[in-house]
This record gives sequence, C-alpha cells and structure tokens, in this order.
Amino acid sequence: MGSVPVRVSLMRSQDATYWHNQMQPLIVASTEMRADRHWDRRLFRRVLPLVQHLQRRRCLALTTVAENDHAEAVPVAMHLLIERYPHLSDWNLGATFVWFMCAMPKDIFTRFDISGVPPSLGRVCVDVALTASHLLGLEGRIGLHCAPTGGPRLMSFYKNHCRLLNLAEHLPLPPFHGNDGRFFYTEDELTKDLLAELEHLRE
Amino acid sequence: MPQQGEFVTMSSDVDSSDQLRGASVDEVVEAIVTLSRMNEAELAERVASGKLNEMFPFRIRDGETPALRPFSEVEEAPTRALTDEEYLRFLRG
Repeated sequence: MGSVPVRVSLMRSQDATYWHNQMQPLIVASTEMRADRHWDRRLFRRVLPLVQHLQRRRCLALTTVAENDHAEAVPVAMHLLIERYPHLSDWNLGATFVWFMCAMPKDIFTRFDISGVPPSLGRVCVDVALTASHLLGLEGRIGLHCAPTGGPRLMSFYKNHCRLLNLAEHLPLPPFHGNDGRFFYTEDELTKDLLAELEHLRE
Repeated sequence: MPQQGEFVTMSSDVDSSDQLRGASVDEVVEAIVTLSRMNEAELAERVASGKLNEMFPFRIRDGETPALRPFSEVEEAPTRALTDEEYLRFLRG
C-alpha cells in the first residue's frame, strides 16, 4: 500500500456534516475502544469555537483530507485547537491546546476508496497541532488531555508512540480542574524532534 | 446544507415522537454561556461520555450529506494566524 496525499484545511461545516453522516456511524459500530464514540463534529465546528470566543480565546477547527482514487478529498482527521492557552508546565508561556482530535480508523480507508495510508494518522494529528503552534509563534508548544474513554491504549499512544511528556499528577494546572495524570505537553527540544520526524512528508 | 454566512439552524427535541419546536434565542444563548463557564477538560469529559446533548439540547438541521470536493480544490489552512476578519468568517461557518 503506497502513501496518500493529505492536506490540512480550515474545517468547513460541510466537512463536519460529512464526518457525522458518513464516518461516525462506522466509529460507533466499531468494537475498537475510541474516545470519539459520542462526539458530534457539527457541534464542535459551530458551537465550541463560540464557547471559546466568550472566553476571548480563538479556537481553530481544521480538517485533514486525503485524496482517494477518484481525486476527491475525504476527511480523515478532525482537529479542534485552542490557539493560545497557558502552557501546562509553565503558565507564563502560551501553548496551543488540543481540545479534540480524531482520525478515521485505518480499516475503513478502503470504503472511501483511499488506496494508501499515511504512516500514522494519530501521529499526523499531533503534528498538525505542533505545526499550528509553531506557525502561531508558540514554538510548537502544545498541551492536551487524554480522554479517559480512550483507555490505556490512548495513554500509551501519546506517551510511547508520540513521545509526549506526561504532566506529573501532583503538579497543579492552570485553569483546569484537578490533574488526573492524563495531561500531556511538549517542550522545546522534543517539539523540534517531533516536527523533524515528519519533515520528509511535507511538500 | 448550511450556506456560507448563515447561522446554524437549530431546534429542540421535545419528545420521543421527534416532534420539533424552534429553540428560542434565549435558550441557545444560555446553553452557550453555560458551556463557556466550564473548563476545557471538564467539557471534554462530558463530550466523551455523550452528555454534551444534555447541556446543548438542540439539533443541527443540516440536510443531506455534502458531496466530496475535488482534492485539487482544497485550500490549505493559512500558514499564519487568521486575521480578525478571517476568524469571524470562520466562526460563521
């Protein structure tokens, strides 16, 4: 199976609707433990940025699309990022907070006539957040909370596959509720390494 | 399908027969303000456990599934922060 071209664009409401109608039923039907089983991307796209707007923060919704065999753009990952948020490990610094992100399960790629697969869409999701942070002048700093519904597999994914730093459970958090030990973040050197890792995939 | 510049159309599920009534502006505003007062992790947990609809009990009416667009027509996200005007346009959908 070869590689497949992907692009990251601002999320349109149509992307969210497409995902909700086409992908979500497959995710719900899947036996895989996934954090996004109950997510409604249409609300993510239209309502959650407004919620952040009231907090005077900007929230960016992005869609990663892949080219299928008919030269169509199929949404394969959705991202909701709070552009500037207190950095989890140093509140004086800003970071991009990954509020929600999800990727299409690999086993349904062929249903949408996608013949190739990126190395790891989950890893691409993290790269999108790092890149957004970098482009916003935040030096690639990101933070995220690993949803408990993702189970140990998701924790392991962030910790071992993405090599994100797990915030120690005893450390306090900025405006969050209690630290449940499931927060992850990046620091400068790690960010550079992670961005460099996928450099060969950028055009 | 929502047109550009058109705010989302919502209505409330009022009973199991799927009979709908229009949501009042006050109800929608109240729900959004309530959501905005929750911290992000707490809200994310509610979403993950399928409880967002309890706090935002409105349904988005968005019609049919949109067709996929040609890959060549996908405009990549800007490699800079959106201007305020661009961001407001984005918020409107």
